[in-house]
Amino acid sequence: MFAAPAVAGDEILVGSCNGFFRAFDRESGRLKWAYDTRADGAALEFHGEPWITPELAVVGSDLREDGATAYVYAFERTTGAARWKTPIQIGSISDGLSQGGDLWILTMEGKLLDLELASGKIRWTLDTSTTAPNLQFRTSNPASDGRRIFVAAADGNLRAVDARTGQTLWRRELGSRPMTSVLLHGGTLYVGTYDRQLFGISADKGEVQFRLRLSEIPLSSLAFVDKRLIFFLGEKSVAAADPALEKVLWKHDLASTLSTAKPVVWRGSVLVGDESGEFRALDPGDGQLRWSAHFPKMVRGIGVSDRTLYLGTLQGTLYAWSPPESRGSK
Amino acid sequence: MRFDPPRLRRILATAVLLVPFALRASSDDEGPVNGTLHWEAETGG
Repeated sequence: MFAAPAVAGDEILVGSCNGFFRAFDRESGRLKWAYDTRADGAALEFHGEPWITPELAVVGSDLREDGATAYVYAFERTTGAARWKTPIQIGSISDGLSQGGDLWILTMEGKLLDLELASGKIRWTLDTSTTAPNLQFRTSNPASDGRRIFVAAADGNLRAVDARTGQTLWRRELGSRPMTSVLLHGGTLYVGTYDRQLFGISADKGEVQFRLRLSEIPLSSLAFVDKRLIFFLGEKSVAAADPALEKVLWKHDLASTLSTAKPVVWRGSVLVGDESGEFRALDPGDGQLRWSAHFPKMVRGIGVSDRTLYLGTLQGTLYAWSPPESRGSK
Repeated sequence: MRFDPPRLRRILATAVLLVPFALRASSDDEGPVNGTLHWEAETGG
């Protein structure tokens, strides 16, 4: 299981790599429903996080083969029926973004799609692909401020796109392929690239405001907490930088390769897990260890509620678990 | 059975060697080693 479980009302919604998308009862873990994508052809995989509405869980799927057809699905939360499904070639591993009646999602072929949330109809497409499809599990989730979508594509460009029309408002060459998702914070877009840089770029004009050279490639999604930009530095470290990207403030090394998909901020701590099964909570201020736990399986996706974590593992087990300091089921 | 100290030592030494593996195998079947596990579910992949 690569995707992070989504916590929504009384449900935990999560897709697997084996063709199933499921809803579990949040209190008991009982399976409420499962959708088997083999009903639509081959078993598809789910790697992105669903976008949750009061009625729907909307999520991209993928099948990374030539000529494949994967779909963006809108599952009804109560029954698991597919209210609509829209074919998107080999698929998407990015998280969907939604505002009003639209949902935007980036495909593995570099197409940014605007789908009508009610029907799945594609309103517009922005094609950013210049080379072969991006078949690696490194995707850059777009960001949005409601009016604009900010997308860093495999062609090495960060674009601001009019959310309504799909028109490109500005484009900034990053000089290298993006390796992190785009994060919008305080009018600045943060993104990391393959040539070991973090950028801070003006959301309004696309101008480079900040730039920080790193010792390793920044990876995965970025997070902001307590005036710290948190990111994965290479495959075995978590690090933090200041908002103006003047320097790396701290770096926390793990014993083995990171297994979690991204740093998750929960109850003021940064949560990360590694392939040894070690799961850690770090102080975002200085990167010091606050607590740790050991899991027999590798934690990949992290869903959160007030007191409980819903942890998806690469082996397929889903845990509802609370660390020692925060007992309770909700 | 006749008392056989060398054989007993071999059995004990083997047992000591196997204990960590047995504990690890046991922990693989269980949940996390600390905190509170509310439930776990299998998705098969």
